[in-house]
Amino acid sequence: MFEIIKDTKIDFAGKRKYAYIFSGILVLIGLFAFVQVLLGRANLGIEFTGGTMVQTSYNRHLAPEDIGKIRSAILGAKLGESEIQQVSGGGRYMLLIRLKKIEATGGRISDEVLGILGKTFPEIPFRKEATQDVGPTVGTDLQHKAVWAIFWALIAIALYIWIRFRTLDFGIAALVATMHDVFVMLGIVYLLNLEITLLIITAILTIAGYSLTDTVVVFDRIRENMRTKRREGLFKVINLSVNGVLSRTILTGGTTLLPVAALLILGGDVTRYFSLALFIGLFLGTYSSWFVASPILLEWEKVASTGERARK
Amino acid sequence: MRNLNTWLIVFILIVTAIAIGSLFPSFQFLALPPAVRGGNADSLARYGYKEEWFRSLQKKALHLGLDLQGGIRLVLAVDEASLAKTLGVKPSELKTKDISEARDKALTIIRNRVDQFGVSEPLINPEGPGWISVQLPGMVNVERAREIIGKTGLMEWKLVQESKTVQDVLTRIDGALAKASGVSDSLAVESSHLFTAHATYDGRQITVMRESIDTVNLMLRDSVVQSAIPSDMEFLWGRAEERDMIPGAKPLFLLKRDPEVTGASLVEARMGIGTENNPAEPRVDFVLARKEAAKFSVVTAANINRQLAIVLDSIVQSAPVIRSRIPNGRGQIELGSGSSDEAKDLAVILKAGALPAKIAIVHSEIVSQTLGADSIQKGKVSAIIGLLLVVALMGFYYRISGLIADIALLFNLLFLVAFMAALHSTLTMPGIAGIILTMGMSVDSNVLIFERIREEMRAGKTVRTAIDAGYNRALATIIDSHVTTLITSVILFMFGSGPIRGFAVSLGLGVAISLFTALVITKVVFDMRKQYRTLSI
Repeated sequence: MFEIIKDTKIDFAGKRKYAYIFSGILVLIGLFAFVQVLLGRANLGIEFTGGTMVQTSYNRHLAPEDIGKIRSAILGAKLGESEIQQVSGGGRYMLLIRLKKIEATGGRISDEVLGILGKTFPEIPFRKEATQDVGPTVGTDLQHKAVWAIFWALIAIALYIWIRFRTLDFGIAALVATMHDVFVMLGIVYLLNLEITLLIITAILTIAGYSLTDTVVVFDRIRENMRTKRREGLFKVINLSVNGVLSRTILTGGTTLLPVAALLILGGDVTRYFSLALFIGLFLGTYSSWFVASPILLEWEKVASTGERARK
Repeated sequence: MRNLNTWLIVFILIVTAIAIGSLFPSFQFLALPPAVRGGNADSLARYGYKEEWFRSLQKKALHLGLDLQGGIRLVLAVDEASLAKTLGVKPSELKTKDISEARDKALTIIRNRVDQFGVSEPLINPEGPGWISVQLPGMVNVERAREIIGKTGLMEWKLVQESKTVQDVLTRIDGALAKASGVSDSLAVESSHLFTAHATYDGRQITVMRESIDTVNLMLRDSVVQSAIPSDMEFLWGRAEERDMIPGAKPLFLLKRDPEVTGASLVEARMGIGTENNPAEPRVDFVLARKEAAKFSVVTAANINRQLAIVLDSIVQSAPVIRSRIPNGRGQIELGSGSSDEAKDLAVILKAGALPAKIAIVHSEIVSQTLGADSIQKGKVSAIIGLLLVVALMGFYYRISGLIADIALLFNLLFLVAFMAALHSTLTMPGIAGIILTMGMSVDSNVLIFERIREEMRAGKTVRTAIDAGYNRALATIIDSHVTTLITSVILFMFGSGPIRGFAVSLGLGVAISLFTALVITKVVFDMRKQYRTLSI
């Protein structure tokens, strides 16, 4: 039998105060990011705001002042502010140009941008690799769809949690952990200034679903131990249970983390931020099952017992 | 127990055979030379493949999304203002039903057009009440796609105003413009402010130089100019490539606003070669349906020696002079210097019929074939490395038991891809990400089982009972822990668009299949041996 983790006695429940501070800060940032999204001030992808994306490849490196030239040429053509990013790899260079909040219909804006590139640097053979022109109505529609997807996903997960655990204490704790994961993910995305795209939202929802895997494993163990070791008290049972399933929560997280890491490093630009969000989220999911979901049970018990005392 | 196991093995073998069978066309497809895979009729012929055979193979093979094979995706919206005009109601009175009916009609027409256009495997679907999503894999010429799909395809015949009327209207416009700039005598106004300074009339047609086109367009939209044009007339542009004109110049026509005949239904439209002026020029011949043909006959008889303009999508195609009555509804559109491709496309559009309303392109997405191929390559590499990492970790940590889980993982991947091919779902880059994520999640079940077995063995149980107890006691936890991933997959599928759906399908299917492979297949392998003294776990 090969084991990395054996008979650990880490005081998870005792360290919950630190976890509360850490999580609290991140959740606050997440809530702030959420408000920013609602106010339309967040870094939303063009699929939500409407706009144009042009991806073009060429054969030589462009200096920052060259890119500045392109930016001012685009500004000069009354296409507004642009975000320009140069990526290189394998002797090829790729330029990513994003224009937000512009009436982009029918693909004409991306053609205009390509025309501007050709005019600014006539000697460089720019090749059109990908373009996207999103009209404002499509953006609004996608925004609505994304909001509904998040809403229904959370409702469905909450419903599932309720069916699964039946009791209020476990149910609330699992739900709090899930909401925690969603908001912390959003907060981290905000801190890293990642563009909130459909793929990022997909990653957040995927993590919301997957992080419950660990929570279910830990909670099942807590319930099992409660049956036999009730007398030792919830605090001890939690520590015993989290330690008891420690190796499997690390391993399930690890087996999922490895392929995601491969995707992050080797998968290219299309999935880069998506896999980055998943990568961070996998850590977060395991963390929250240890430090958020389980300790909430303790808090719940405290509240419940003071409530009972008050009633007496 | 032994008996059950045998049946399970037989079942697994059958499923495996079906899976490999359903993947066979995909392998066959991938074995084709890359030039042929695009489905171009010429290259098929060059390599000696039958087109029918290729099409049926392509249908059965795993579909690649636009992000992987390159192509165009457009989202079209029915223009509500123009639909209201066609139906003769106010835009605010339009019902959702009207819009969705128009959408369905437009969908059929666009499908007909695209089918004749020769794109392989186009996907044309309704999206929301007024939208149509069109995917043209392998196609990168967005200009041509826009022409074919976005054109309303409504042919109208409008009478060109006689020279005296044109002259009058031009004078009125100039007068109005002069008055608006505050000078009563039009001669005193700076000449560049006048309409006729940009649009010159030679008694037959109005010509606008290339550099004046924008100015004239602005002027025509000006309310001062608009009020000077009689309400039963309108200005429409002609085609730029008109013969014997200065390069880049465009003709402008003053027409009667109401069409004499509307060519909504054509009996036939086909490309031809040779026009009156040039025997090599392409043209489109058409035949009107009987009702329209009768009307056409009356109109041509009543207007001999007048110009009758053929208007398509608000552009005057040509304005020939009527020499005699045209009784049979036959006519032709000359394309001037246009290519034969253009003539072919136009014939396709006319034959498929006119769209019920104008169509606006509200979203367009293009991915080049090289970028798609690059994504496939990167997806492949990260999938293989990801798989190797998981396989190595499981084998290292759980030894032989881990290898059993690895075998189950390979089955999972085989079934997953086969399922996707059989369900005709489309593989996208996020879909590949879903497959990669599935690899990690599907061995989770085995981790949970193996940890249970270890625990039972530590508690002193025999290997056999430990295995059985491990499977039984971990089962509930495993199913529950995957349910939430399935829930999010279903919701992402319901609300997501193309690429996200690809992710939802591969992750959802992958996790669902893993319940079979990670639980049943590994158990069958463990049960192949009856007696265990030790277990490598």
